[in-house]
Amino acid sequence: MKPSVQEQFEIKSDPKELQGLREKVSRLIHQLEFSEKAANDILVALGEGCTNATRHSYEGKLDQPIHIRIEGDSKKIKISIRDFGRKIDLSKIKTPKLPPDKPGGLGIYFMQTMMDQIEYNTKHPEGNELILTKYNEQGESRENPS
Amino acid sequence: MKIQVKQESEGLELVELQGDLDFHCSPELREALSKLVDRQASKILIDLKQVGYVDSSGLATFVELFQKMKRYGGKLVLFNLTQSVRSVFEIAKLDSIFKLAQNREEALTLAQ
Repeated sequence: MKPSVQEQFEIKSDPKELQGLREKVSRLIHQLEFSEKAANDILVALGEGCTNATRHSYEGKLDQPIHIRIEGDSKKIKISIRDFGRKIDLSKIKTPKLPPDKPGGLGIYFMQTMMDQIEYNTKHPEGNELILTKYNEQGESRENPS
Repeated sequence: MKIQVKQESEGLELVELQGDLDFHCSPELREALSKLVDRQASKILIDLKQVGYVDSSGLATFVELFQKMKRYGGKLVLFNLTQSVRSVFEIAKLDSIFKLAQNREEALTLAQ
């Protein structure tokens, strides 16, 4: 039987919650048989998405909700990170200088580099939804991703 | 995250890290490293053998340390990077400016 997962988690915007979230999501990624490299990429991207929600959407507030929805199968994993804070201004996203000569500014670049797709759903009346997708190079062919 | 700082000899500090280096733990590491920078440690070696996860906040901590040490001519070497951590450094192209060593012996050589 082909593996598939569908899970939802709710965490607070407190970075203390990130490790526990990573452990739960790591188990799901391994069920889907992603490579170790891909698993690490997904976990870093997930962390960056949640960190951005805390830092930017919630402006550092630690008690705000972040909803995470994971759907995956042998072909791909899709992670939705939903916050209810300040809307992201996509026009302000800058391409970072590499290597960086000052701290910060790499979060979105990491998500873009480590995942196959990164998309902001801007249609919600409040908050943001970041959708991260990665195809499984070890699983079925991604020639015809659905 | 566990952070252990040992002064190996005059001016040579060995920092051993254990755990994930993320947005939660980075401030604690930044504070520990700031103490070394404040006394202008001339060489800082950081052992990442037991670090399996680094995010952009963790990298930012190292970039800040690197920049501060550069100002007073200090030398920073990171060693024993796991594959996943090395990959994050490579994506940020920090492997082109940081001294990254395979092991402690090489780190000591690079810090000379």
